[in-house]
Amino acid sequence: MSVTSKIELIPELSAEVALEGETSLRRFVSDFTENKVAVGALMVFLAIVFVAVFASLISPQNPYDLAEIDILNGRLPPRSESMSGTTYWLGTDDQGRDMLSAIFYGLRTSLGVGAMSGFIALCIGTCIGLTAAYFGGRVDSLIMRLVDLQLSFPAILIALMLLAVLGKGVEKIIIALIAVQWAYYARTVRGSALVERSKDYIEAAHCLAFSNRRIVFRHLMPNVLPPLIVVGTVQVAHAILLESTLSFLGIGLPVTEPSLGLLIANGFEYMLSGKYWISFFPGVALLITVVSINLVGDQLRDVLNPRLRR
Amino acid sequence: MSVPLIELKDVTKRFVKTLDLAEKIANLLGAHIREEVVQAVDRVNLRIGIGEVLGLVGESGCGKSTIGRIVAGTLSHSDGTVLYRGREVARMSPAEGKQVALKVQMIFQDPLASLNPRMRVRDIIGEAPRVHGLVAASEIEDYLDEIMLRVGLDPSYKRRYPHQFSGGQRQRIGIARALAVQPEFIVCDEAVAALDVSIQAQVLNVFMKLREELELTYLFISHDIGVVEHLADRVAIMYLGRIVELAPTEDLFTRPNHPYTQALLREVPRLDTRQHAFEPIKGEIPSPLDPPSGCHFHPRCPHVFKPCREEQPKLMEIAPEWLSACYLNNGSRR
Amino acid sequence: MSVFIIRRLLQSLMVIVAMSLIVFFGVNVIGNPVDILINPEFDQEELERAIKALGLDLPLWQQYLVFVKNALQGDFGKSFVFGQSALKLIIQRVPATLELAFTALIMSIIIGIPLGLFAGLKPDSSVSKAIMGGSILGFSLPTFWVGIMMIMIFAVMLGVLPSTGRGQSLTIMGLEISFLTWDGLKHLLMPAINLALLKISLVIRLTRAGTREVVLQDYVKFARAKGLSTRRVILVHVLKNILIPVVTVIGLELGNLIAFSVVTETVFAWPGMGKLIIDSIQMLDRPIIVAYLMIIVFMFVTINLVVDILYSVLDPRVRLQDVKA
Repeated sequence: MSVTSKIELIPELSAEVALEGETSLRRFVSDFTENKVAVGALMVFLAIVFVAVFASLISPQNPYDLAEIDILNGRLPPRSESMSGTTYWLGTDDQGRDMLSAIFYGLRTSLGVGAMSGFIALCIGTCIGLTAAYFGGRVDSLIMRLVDLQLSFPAILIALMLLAVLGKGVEKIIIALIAVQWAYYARTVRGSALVERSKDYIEAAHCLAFSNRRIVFRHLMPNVLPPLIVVGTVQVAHAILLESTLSFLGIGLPVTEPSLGLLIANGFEYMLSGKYWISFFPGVALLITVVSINLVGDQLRDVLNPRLRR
Repeated sequence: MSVPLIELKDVTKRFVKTLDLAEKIANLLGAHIREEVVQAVDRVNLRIGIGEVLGLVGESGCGKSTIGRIVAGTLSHSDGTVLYRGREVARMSPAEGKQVALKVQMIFQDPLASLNPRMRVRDIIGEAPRVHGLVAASEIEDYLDEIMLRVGLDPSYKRRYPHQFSGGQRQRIGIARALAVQPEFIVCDEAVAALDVSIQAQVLNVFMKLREELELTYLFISHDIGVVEHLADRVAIMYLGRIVELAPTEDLFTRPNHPYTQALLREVPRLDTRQHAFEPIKGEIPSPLDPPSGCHFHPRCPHVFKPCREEQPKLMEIAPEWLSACYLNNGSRR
Repeated sequence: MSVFIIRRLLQSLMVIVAMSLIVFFGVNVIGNPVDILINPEFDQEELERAIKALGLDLPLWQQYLVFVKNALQGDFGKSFVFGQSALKLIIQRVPATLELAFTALIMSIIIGIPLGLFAGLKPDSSVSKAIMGGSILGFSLPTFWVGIMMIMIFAVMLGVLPSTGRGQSLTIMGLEISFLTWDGLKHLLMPAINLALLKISLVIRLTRAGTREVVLQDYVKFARAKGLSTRRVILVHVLKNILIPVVTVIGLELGNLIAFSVVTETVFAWPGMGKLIIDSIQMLDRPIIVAYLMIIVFMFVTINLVVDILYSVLDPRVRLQDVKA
């Protein structure tokens, strides 16, 4: 038996294999760009984010600076001119605010609240989901009961319950949106973490005597994050929609922080007299935002889930 | 025999699925739902000496991987004791337990699944020595190069990810990761089963070379009795959670004592088999949920007689260093 | 089977207990129960009497037991605004909401299944792509905004449908029903479509996915090979197999429709319980809020339980999965 025969290096082979692996990011990009609609949606979404971030720089006026608005310019239809000669491309609301500027500021509030609540919910949900999957047993079944319990109720109802108890306010609606979303993240994370946890590399990490914290956050977490990207995009769209709905119902954001939903609600009372633009344009902005996020999310899901690919 | 490196005394592992409240209520209402208990490992005794290679062989589901995990410390046992250099592992202080945990490392069956897909090779191998302070930060690169060369990996591949390697190379990465914490004992759980036959030989050679260079001790677990033949000093045969035969390799392969061992050896394809009728073990491996009475092997055994069904045969010394659990050894009937 | 039902019953019970705890503590710990449950217009003497009557001087756990005991007897206190029993007020509004929800449910099935079937059978045709694009839109459209736009187009601009309210209703067996009169039907049409929009998209997607899967199955290929007409293959083989999952999901969506009717009812001023809860939140009419939350929890748990059990009767795999898990 040639037990001690020398061990040869096999460089050619690994170089070949390496080529195949190195392209996975590039393949992801090319898969994503295959769908032109999704690429367009991504562009639109980036434009919306740009507008929201730089709202105060690119808006024609600051709609919440009382010095800049004049009630005499109130309820002007689109493309009319103010007395000082500026054009209101999307008309004005009852207070004489330029709707275009109000929409830019509204986008900032809507996206901000959606992204912030989504991010915090993602962090909380990820930690809880990882804990449940990693420790298993009673901890797991307790957490999952809670998740199932919450997911058996529609999001709007949970938010309604919380806001009925908490009252109005930016931080309160963020709390409500977090409470609505965390369970989705927790369930997704737990599902993929359970799969990953049973893999040998986690056992190997145990063998190497790493602390639980190190194993969960350094080894398990990076491997459960990809499916979260999909859930995350869809959830942010949901959160934005839910926030605007709650604000429309008058139980969400206060009038001092006008999101798109509140703008639509403001215009509702003028609708019956035919002044459509106060409600119409904020709704269009909301629709474009949500549709673009959903389209990007759809394509991400198709690309990341090989089962759905042809 | 001097103090063994690893010793298992009456080690037992039960997996129990308890009833939940709903099932208990259903039982009160007249249903008959029982707790499910799987005795994965049933009072196993093993001594593995320093520098020895012990092969552990059995069909899938017989509990051999469970033993491997208990030895490696990644799974707790229900009963019995595990001793490391004569000291009980369960009673050690956390710091000492960690030291022992590092001294016992494991190599897995699926090389890809055993490597974290999102870590580079240098981190996979280097994380543990760095975190546990085995190597100074300034020397870590040299240390990695040395270990990678030792297992036959080109150190220039340090910055790559596991999926960029071939199966054999991945297994070498797994070996390097284990070696990096300077272990004394390595559990190889089906470590070559997932590899091509030509690669298997290469990886087995790595194991043997390391054994000589670093004086390592191995527990080599395999479902394929042929793999352990050229590797192990002694071989233990397991069936449904129990060890049925334990003997020096040469004796076991030339004169298998237990009917199960004999059956296993008949299944090994050999070059010198002349017109030998291939004869599988009759019947299927019984459910571990409901194992047969007496000797677990009796429903499939060609030599079965009355006591086999009634009481479990004890593992007895039938020759020096040779244990077997079969009533055929108790005298007249042979 | 029995274990499955027992487990679901236990879970339902736990949900109700958990939610009663959450609602109770939401009111008593996060908010001040004196503000929440007692009419703020009471004077000092009335206030103390009310505190005694409500048991607010007792320790918290005793208060909870009192709350549960009262709730079981249907007593959630009196509405500050209407001065009537909160439970009664809500129950009066239930038929209007249910009428709206069921109409929307039926609409989503009648419209969604044929469209989804078409998109699933001819996935590459441009009509199918339009249907699927429309369903993405359906998921993304804010319900309340669509409602407003519908009012604008059909009520303000075209003037063909009434903008708000419930219209003329008939009373049959003590229930007020509006879809039997022409006026009532006209009032019902827009809110129901508005509420159904999201569900139509959902049904389209489910039906399409199910159809595409079923069409590839061997028994469908076999049925075609046998020479059965396309119509028969679709009606008997495809439809039968996609109906179970679609109907289950739709059943579960009934609860969702009831919850979302909050939005539709507010837009169209439909006098259901959703409109009542929004008005009550804005007017801080807390007894109604508490009663609404408990009733809706109870409704949800019951719907989920019934659907789960029905589904397990229809599809034995569910029970087996449950046993394995």
